[in-house]
Amino acid sequence: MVSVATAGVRIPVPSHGAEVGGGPSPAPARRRWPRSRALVAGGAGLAALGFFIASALNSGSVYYLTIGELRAKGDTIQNQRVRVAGHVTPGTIERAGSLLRFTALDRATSQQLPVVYRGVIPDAFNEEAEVVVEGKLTQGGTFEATTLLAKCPSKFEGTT
Amino acid sequence: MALAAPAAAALLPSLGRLGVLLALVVSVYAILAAILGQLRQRPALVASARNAVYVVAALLTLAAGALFYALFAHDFSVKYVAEQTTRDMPWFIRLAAFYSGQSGSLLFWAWTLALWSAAAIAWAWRRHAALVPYVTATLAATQAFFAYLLAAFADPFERLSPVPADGRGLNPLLYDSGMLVHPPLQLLGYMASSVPFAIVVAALATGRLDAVWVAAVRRWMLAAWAVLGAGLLLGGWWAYHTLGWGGVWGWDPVENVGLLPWLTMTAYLHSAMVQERRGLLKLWNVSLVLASFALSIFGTLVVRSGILSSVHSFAQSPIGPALFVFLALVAFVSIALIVWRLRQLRDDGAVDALFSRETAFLLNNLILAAVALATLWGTIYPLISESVRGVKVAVGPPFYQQVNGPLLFAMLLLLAAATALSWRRTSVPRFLRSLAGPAVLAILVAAGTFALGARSLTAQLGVVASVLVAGVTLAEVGRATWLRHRSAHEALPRAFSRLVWRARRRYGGYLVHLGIVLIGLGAIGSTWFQIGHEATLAPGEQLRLGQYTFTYLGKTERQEGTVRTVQAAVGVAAQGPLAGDTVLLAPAKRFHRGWEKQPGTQVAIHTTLPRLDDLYLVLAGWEDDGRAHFQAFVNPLVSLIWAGLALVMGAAVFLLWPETRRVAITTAREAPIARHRSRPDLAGAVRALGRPVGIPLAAGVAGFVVVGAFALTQTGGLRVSGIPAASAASA
Repeated sequence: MVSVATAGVRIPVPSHGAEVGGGPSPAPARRRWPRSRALVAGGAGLAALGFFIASALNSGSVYYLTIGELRAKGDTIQNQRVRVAGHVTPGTIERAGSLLRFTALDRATSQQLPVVYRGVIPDAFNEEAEVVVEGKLTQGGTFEATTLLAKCPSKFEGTT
Repeated sequence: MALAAPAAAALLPSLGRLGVLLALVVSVYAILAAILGQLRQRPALVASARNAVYVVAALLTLAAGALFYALFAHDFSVKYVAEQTTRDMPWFIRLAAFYSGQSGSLLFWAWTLALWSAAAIAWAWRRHAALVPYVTATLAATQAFFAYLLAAFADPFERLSPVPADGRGLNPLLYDSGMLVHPPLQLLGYMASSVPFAIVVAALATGRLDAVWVAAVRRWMLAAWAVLGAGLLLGGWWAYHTLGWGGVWGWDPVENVGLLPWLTMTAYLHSAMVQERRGLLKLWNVSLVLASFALSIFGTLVVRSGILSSVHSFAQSPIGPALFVFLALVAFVSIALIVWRLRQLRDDGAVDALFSRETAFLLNNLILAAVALATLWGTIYPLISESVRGVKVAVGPPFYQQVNGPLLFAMLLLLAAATALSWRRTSVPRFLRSLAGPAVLAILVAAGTFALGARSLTAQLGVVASVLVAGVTLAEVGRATWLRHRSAHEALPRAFSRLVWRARRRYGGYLVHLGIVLIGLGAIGSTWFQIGHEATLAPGEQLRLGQYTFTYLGKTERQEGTVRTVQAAVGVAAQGPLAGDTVLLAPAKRFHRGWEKQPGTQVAIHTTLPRLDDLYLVLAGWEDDGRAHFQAFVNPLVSLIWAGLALVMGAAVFLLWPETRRVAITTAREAPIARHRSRPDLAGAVRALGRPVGIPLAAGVAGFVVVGAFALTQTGGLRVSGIPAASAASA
């Protein structure tokens, strides 16, 4: 039960009005949020948050595909932002000024994807690096990447 | 005699492994002794459990010492040392190699947990004697789990045969001061959430749910909050000066899971005050503390198990399932305890008025919980989408900005409002009067930034909110100082210092808020006002970016030991009002021997004063004809983030400072345990163990030790046949 040591405990004081048998009590009644009202407000808030999150997810999430899946989608995926994972095919890296070209490789299916990227190149990017690119597949079959991520050097190596 | 020293060195890793195994056994004993001691009211058993925790701390310190020795003595017979270090590694990175790998970082977790637990139990022994048994049991259970991980899955002392001449070492991209601060602080922050968790578990288990446990938890939670916050922001600092995209926070899954426990800790630190004053929000507070620990374990799980794809890649490992089971256990115990004591967690009173600080703190809880929920959902959504719909998606920064942005904006407004609200009730006119001045100031500042060229509505709103918070906080402090100056007739500085020192919690809190405002302004500046450009320049050519002109002066190359550095010299001059002097930037690329294909980028960063712009220059590459490729950014106000962090840390130290007049919370009369002498009473413990339950227990412990010793010989951790010849030669 509640310990008396807690501060702020309100001990109800019987009002004189009640004893005399009529009239409102002089002290203002302790205003209490009815449990039902609190629950409804809470539920509404939660629903609003859920709605908010769902709509943001729709616009903020992108498909995360392998190269094979990207090719399989064909025309439907054109001009839609997607994220593609793969490895760098050794020997295909070309840097021309600030432009980077390389061919991404899906090691599982040996499918390739030419990528063009302009921007900051992460240090971890090199031959045989594992990369994730985000951008759009163009008509010519080249992937125009706006974001290039290379896997951070593994701090917790497995058995390699 | 000449062989004695190398022989001892060769034995150390085996001793380390033995230490870990014994720590497991002893912490299991501590759990049982503590629980038994509480159930049967045997102070001797509880004291024995406490001493067992001290023994575990000693054992794990021995193990940690053994690993440190192996790292610094180049003992490549230990597999971990061979993987993480090389002979020519700088000593401070060698220090970081302790926790750079899976098993080493687990040992770091277990070792620091053991030390922290020992300190917590020693602290709680007299002050909170009634809670000590279950606190000991909970902390010992966590210790036992991590010792189990070390023993069964990730042995740091695993041997390598044949012994290599040199190790493989860390990727040189990690040779950075960030490696020295971010991982240990992050791990310590996770670890430190275990003590508040243990205290709450004890409070729920013993039914002592009055304000005593809140007072007990406060400083431990504050310390954990401060350390975790520092770890997160220093991780951002590391990313900022290393990665080259000029950003501080990328909403990567690994970053997000570190943020989650910090949010619940922040919520707790505020809402605990409501329970102390009014006896309200008890269920919230209990849940927030339990959630902080659960989320820390969840963060550890996500980072190490590889279940979420992230830029920070950590290899998949079998400890994932074990961590998941532990997390499930923690969640189950937490929920069960709360349900059991639900009736005692009812509020003592009610919120008096809608317009009060209590309501503001409740709203604070709700907003922080919403941010945490949204971040959690966005982080695990790819996992859910893949398993439920079979569609793989990635959730990027736009989601988090869209959801957390407005929530954090609401948070800033609430911060301002809460500072202007009093406990119990505030009259609306008074409330509006407090806000009027700062609101005018905020609008003026926004107009000023608009005049300077800022056009983003979101950024302007953020600036308004931040200035509002700062204004209200400073006005509040100023008003209180002025009142004291008038009423106590003290000079202003003296009035200020006495005011602040007498009510450290309030003014320390205000200082933290000011730090948060600085961090917020820095985040706004770096997110919305960053400008960048790339160019290929020949020596003498220039690049204009905003108010700045970058002139490429030339390139030099030098070799230092195993590192070849190619450095460019770029002069930067500013135009316009508030122009500083010309600055020389030196971005570089470093090639480490053995890693030539993966050069490390050294970003040149300079903070201009007084504009507080960060000039951020990356040397992307160069051609044979002398031209060089650059990526240049101007990041406004980023340095405010680091200044804010320093302010928050200073405030945390201020808040953690011990009270000179200790309010003694004596529970000694309630529990005989506190009257018990602290000296170990082995006889009493053994007598207590002589009961029917004791004999099977002793048999089990003995069997465990026997099995453990056997396992040691099998894994080669303890060579019974002799000292391995290879390590004697290499030492």
